[in-house]
Amino acid sequence: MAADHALLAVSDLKHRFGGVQAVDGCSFNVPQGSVSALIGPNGAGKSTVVNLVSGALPLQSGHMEFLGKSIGGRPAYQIARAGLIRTFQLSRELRRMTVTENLLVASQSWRLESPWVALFGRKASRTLERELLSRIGEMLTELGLYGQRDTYAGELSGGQKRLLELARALIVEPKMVILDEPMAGVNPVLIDRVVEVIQRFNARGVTFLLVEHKLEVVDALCDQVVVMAAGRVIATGSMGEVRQDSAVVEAYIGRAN
Amino acid sequence: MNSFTQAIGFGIVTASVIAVSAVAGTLQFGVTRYINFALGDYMTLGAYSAYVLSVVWGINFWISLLVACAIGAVVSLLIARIVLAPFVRKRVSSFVMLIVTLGVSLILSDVILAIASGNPKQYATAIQDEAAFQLGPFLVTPAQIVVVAIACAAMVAIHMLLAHTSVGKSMRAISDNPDLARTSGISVSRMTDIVWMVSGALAAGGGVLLALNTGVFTPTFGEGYLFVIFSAVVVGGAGQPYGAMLGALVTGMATELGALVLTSAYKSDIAFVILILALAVRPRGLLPSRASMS
Amino acid sequence: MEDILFFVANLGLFFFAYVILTVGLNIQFGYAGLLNFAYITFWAIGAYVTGVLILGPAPGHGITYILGFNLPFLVALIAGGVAAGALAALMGALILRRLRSDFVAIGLFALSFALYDIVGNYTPLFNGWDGILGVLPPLNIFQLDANAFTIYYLVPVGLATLILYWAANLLQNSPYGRALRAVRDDIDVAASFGKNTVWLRWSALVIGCIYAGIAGGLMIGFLSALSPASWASSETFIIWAALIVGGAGNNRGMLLGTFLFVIVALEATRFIPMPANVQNLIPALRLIVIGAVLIVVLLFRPQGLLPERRRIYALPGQS
Repeated sequence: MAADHALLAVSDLKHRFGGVQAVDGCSFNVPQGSVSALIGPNGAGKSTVVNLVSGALPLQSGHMEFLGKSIGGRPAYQIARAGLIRTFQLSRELRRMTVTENLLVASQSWRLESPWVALFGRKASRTLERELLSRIGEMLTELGLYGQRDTYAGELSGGQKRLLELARALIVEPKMVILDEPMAGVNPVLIDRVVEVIQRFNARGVTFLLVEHKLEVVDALCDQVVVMAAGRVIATGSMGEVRQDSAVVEAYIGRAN
Repeated sequence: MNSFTQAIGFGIVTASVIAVSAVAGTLQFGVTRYINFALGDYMTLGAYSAYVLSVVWGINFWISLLVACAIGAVVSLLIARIVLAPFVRKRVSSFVMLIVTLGVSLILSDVILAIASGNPKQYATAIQDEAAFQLGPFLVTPAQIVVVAIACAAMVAIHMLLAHTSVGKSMRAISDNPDLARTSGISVSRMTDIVWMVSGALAAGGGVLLALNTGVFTPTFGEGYLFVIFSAVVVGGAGQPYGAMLGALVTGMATELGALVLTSAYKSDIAFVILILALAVRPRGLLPSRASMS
Repeated sequence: MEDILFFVANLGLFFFAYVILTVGLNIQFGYAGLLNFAYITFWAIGAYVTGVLILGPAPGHGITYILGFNLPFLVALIAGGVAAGALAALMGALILRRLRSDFVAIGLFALSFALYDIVGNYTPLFNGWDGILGVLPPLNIFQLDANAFTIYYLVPVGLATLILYWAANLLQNSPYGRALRAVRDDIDVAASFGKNTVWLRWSALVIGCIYAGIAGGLMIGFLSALSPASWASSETFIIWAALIVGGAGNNRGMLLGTFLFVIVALEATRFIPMPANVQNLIPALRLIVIGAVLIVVLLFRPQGLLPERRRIYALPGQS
């Protein structure tokens, strides 16, 4: 079901940290409507690529396009507003706010976030809030977090924080989500549920890019796999194709993945 | 001897005073990754220690200076181990660390106030009584020569430390990339202890230099000079010791040359403008820097 | 009898002003996570601007200041708030763009020192270290004498306090307030789901400083004089310690902290008998205790005495 149209197109991305060339000419496309994976051994540059694409790192060299428009050099919040949302490898929740509030603040329209609306537009905010809360309730139930809805996000378990991270990405109704190791630390029982949720949202038109180490998940879920090593893309294709690629095998020799 | 060259001369002296403390602050920031608001008070501690030793007890100036630096090193390490370490273990944000070091600053400056009283002290030593003489185009006093000489010696020592010792190289590694440094086997906790001692010693020395240069000092004079130090640190790039030296030169020169136009009352305001401009325009500093500011 | 009334009324005026200051600071610090060491400076700007607008033109020798337009109080008060807000807008535009919170704090801290220096040394501005004086009691339509005016002045100040407190509550319990707290908790995460963190922090800075400026403008009405000695930066440290101990993010917590610190710690120590040489140490001891309490509270109860209350939302019937 991968369309020709690339939702996210990355070409010749390069990034240097002091003496280390973390990304060295990375290019790939994520087709609209697909569930793609970005895999590779540790140190391949995957997280750096995610940080570059989402605007968390300044662009040093290369070109990035989302929905046909260049996003290089744009601040992170603008890229997010364009519909490209990312999660973090180490869960970063808003610790002093409840689970519900975490989702509420993510999903509330930025247009409502002005002092003017706060003083004179309370009625409109309240109506929109009710709609959001109903969607939040559904999302929390789907992910098994409904019981924690009034818990401070900082008090959740590791696996619960991962799920909250996922919920927060999806509640904003994104066009594309980059999930950075979404399954890490998640209870095996819930992994199936997470996979279901991803598939359900994908069916609704959300494109996914997963950075994942659990290759069985990638196998089950993803249409396309992009393999990185030493800062470059060394293979692209389906999981079956990529598994047999000699360069990929070599890059993974000795890795515990 | 026109006022312009004289201002350049003053600029070099001021830069020397700033440089020692700026390097102290930037080295510590590079390793610990948070700002120490009590840096100014370590300077004050150094000035008062040296004062008690040399002026009150009559000990030789150079020995007093070294002992004051040693006191600075010890106090800095103790505070880091006893007061700051619990917060670092809890992994609080650098923002909270700033508030904690503010608390330390309040305590330190007021302990000094309680012991020494708030009356301004005069750093009157034999050196300062001697008259000015001509050195090339500049009219200098021996005290100013001493200040510049001490600062230069300290900068050379720091350079030796950073470039030629494993301790110095480890510090630079941690400052550039803490994760990489850790996985390369560098003991971050040992380096942290060392950097606090070095920073404390330098700051104490910087305080003595400041006292020598300004003549009178009070328990809060280091605190008041803090943002002049920060200007130099930011201009040079936080975490960059050579940058701090450059920043000290820029700030020192700018304040003295600016004083020609604006009168000396506004010297520290010039440092403020430099700080704001640096933060607004080039927070990474003039030298290429890796330490994160945003 | 009259003296007691006057004393209580005076205390009441200070209390109202403190409420406005605390609430404004809560928006900046408790909600947006900005450490603004220059807060008291913005209070001073508001007080000075309102003062010199109420006053007539400067007599010239001995006393110099800008403006001096003899304007009506309400106009001068609004101008004071606007002046504070404008300075905050400028400072914010310069340093709030990509800096982490502690560097922003350093920049604002430097501002407080520099303004203190400039206002004190540059006499044409607000008469330097001597300051302005002789600001006549504003809104004095009944031509009351000093004591009666103090009691009367409680009404307009109390009204202003009520309005500003109510407005702050609205701001805090709104999508805007929520967005501020997200920026406070993790600025990168907030940006990652589309919050314009630069604008959010900047607006909180400006709004908080407007509050400070208005508090200043109201206070100049009953202080009638103002010089830099009243607003040296060390005052702010005490307020900060009070806020953190009381509980940032919670208006009532912050008021409690302010009350405990300012009134109990500062005033109560006056009544404890002790030998003369210890008496001299009191100002230093006070600050040592404040510093120690600050560190201890941050370590063991960082949320303060009255932490931010948990907000519960009704999620429409789920399983």
